[in-house]
Amino acid sequence: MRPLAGFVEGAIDRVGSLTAWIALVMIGLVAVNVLLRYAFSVGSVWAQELEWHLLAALILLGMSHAVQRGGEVRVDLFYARFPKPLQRAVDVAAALLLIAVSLAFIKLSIAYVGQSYAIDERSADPGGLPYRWAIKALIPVGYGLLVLQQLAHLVRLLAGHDSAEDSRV
Amino acid sequence: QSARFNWKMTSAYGKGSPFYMDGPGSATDLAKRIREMSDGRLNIQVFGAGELIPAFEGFDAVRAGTVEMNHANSYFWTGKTFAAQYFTAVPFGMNFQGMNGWLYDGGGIDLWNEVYAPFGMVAMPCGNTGVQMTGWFKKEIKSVADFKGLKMRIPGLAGKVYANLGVDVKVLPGGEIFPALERGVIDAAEFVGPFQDRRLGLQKAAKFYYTTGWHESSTVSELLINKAAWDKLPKDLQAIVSNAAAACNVISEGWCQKANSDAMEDLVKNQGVIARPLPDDVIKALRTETDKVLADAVKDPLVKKVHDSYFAFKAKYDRWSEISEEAYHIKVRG
Amino acid sequence: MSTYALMMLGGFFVLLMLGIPVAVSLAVSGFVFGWLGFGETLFSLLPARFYGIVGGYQWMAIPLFVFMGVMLEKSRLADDLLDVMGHLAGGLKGGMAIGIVLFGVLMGATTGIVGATIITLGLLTLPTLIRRGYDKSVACGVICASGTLGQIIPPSLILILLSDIMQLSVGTLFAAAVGPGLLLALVYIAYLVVMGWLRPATMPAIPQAERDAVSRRELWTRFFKVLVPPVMLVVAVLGSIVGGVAAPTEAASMGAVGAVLVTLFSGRFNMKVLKDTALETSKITAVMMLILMTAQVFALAFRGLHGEDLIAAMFDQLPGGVNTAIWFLMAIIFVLGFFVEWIEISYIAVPLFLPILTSMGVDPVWLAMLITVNLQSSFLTPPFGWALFYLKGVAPPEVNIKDIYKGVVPFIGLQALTLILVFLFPQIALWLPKAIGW
Ligand code: NA
Ligand code: NA
Repeated sequence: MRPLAGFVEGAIDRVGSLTAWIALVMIGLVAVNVLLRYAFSVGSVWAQELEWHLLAALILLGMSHAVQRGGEVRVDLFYARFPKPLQRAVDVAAALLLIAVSLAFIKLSIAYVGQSYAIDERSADPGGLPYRWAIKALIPVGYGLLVLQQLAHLVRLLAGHDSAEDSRV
Repeated sequence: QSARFNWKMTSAYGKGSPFYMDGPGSATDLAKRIREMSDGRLNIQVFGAGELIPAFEGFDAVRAGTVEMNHANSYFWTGKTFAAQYFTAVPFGMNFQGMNGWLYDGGGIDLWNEVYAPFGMVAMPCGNTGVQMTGWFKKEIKSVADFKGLKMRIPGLAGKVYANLGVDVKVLPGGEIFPALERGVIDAAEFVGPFQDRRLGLQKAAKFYYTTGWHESSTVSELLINKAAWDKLPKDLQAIVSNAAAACNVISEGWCQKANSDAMEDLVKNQGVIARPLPDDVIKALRTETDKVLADAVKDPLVKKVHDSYFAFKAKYDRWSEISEEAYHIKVRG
Repeated sequence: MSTYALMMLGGFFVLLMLGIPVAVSLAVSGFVFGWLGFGETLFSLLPARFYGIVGGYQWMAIPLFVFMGVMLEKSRLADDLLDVMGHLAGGLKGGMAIGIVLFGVLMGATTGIVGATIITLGLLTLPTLIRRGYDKSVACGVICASGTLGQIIPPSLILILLSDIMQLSVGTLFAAAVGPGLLLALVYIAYLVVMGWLRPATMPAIPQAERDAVSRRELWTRFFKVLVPPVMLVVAVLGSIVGGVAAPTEAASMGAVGAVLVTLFSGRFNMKVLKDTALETSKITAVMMLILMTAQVFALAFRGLHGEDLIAAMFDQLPGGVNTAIWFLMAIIFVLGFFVEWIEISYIAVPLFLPILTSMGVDPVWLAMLITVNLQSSFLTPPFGWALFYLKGVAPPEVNIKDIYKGVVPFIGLQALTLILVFLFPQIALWLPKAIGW
């Protein structure tokens, strides 16, 4: 199990690197759109839509990597004072719950994406981008990655590694 | 004891928006009329944009049957099926009377339902803004050349037409139109009509108000209903919904006439707005470009069917309105 | 059914206190009690809500501001920023904290999103404040409160949403919010001055000896070197809005480009810095959006469980009178603010009371400002407060949530004080829109 978990974590790391580039491209694109419009009155609807398409990809593909790097926010008011075994129990419960929740999200969103795919949905703006369903499909993909990441995390926890702190890269 | 129905209706417009969500003929008014006429047997809870779902998610929600009804404009769904454009407004299309003639008696509603049949939905008109306005411009438009490099907020099909004439089309949500126009991020903006535009304060950002919306000569509000839910309603409740929608279609348009007359008078008299139509050759150029854009769309057989029906009706109606409405406006009205 | 709504709030609270991550607590409590109350139906709307968030135009500002903040942090130019502020403040205790409030006002004028300001301030200033001997909770409190100012100082998402719900012009609300927003900042500053005098150990001035060691000339050189670039970036963002270069949401991209340029000129730019900044940006953005998405489960369940019926039932028990109604609304908004985010509060509470209050002749613009000031507290009140989460997300590990909770308490009190001031003196809100004719 451990090597498999390591493999999953490595893959999530690579997806994380990808989202870093997506972030750069998105920021650059917004700036370029602003400057081109201001300086040369040049712009297009598709380039503006691409801005938030990239944002969606950045969020949904970046979630699992962010969680893997310990980005989750928790209230550690009492947790910090829990004995180690109790902390681990909370962590295991949290991982199981996050997996369950993500699976529910995936199940709910597949029908939503299917509706869009079946009609080859595109932007409602004639100057906009095609393949709207592809952006929607990132919802189940993103939560799928999160499930994989949490499974790997669970393997580590059950193998006796300490709480989330230690799994920070 | 007859069955009671508790339905949900979502809207593409925010809670409290006049015309769409509040006031005579609005979504909440529609629900109220249906409740009263059915003596509470069909009780519709109305949700503004964002309350249950984001503004433009009503189509999918009704299609899935999670909500039974959605109140919006069909042209929001052109990314799903382009023919939906024609049931709201098409550039250089018909006015309120002509549109109703086509929808109710010229086969329009039947085509609407045909377009939505694959999605398991039915639709009917239930509101109309009447003629909208071309929009607010910081500088005067004297010729088509003035469009070159003009930065304008204008969504949809009309945006494509402007873009073909050299306009730099900017997509902005309602809340950012005013600051962007005021600061000159954009040079022009289209929104709705005098009453709604004045609410955004657009007259404080631009002085030239080009009138008569060539792009939306009347804009239909759509009542979208899940077909399975609709079929479960007894005949009398179906009749109540259809009649309430028809009532709102007329009543909301009437409200717009009053609200826009008041607002326009205030804009011109008190706020220094210069209201005028676009020059003739600009309108001509827009028409030529619109024809090109639509010619591209009718390659799809379903779109062609709707397009042909719409424009065949329009051709006839144009001749009739020439000797009725037009003559009235020019010779009789005073 | 609304009993389930209460139980859901309780369940969320318990999970959160156990140390279950915020995102998980929100989704689980929402799913469980929603499912008990109304079954599966409404939850099929979740994907539409997710899509609305990940594709939400207004959220684009978050990665843009985060990038600007992280880049500045990596450039290490910001390290000295507060030191210089501290030096310039001389012997005044709390000088750096006051600088943060002022910075919050400036940042607030560039964005309507709380996360953007708090993340920027948290990254740039929290480590320095702690190093300079500030009490951790004081530092956290001032950052959260200053960052939240962005939601009252226009442009602001709250004002845009309220204009929709209350049928008011956005321009009028923007103008009306300037007074209360600046008043709030002034109240914060006055508090810091007083506390710096009463409890100097919690917000020390830069020691006399160290201040003496730096000559005036040297200080001004450093001033231009370290204070000017970040301020220039804020000016770049603000300036691009005021100068008509960019719409409010996209303006932060000018700050992001500026941050790269500033780092480039400082000679600290390289590909690794760029890559690390991008990685941090995507991490922080993704986590915040994950919380926002799971909050949709909770919000949808609260609505499905008719949480608003609870409020309506309580209101019926009240004696009449305009002020009773206003303060009941204020109390409801404040209490909901502990558990629910401001968007849901606005949708739930405002429409319930708006018809009653307008029929009593309450000025809607003034009412909108009371609501806006009050909503400020929802960002700060634990357990669910966006400002708290945003700051926790970027704070150094030695800062725990307790420090943040403790730090925001006085500022919640100051927000209540400001609310009372705007209530007693409506002109604070109403003067400007009238004066400029918006
Ligand atoms: Na702001
Ligand atoms: Na709160």
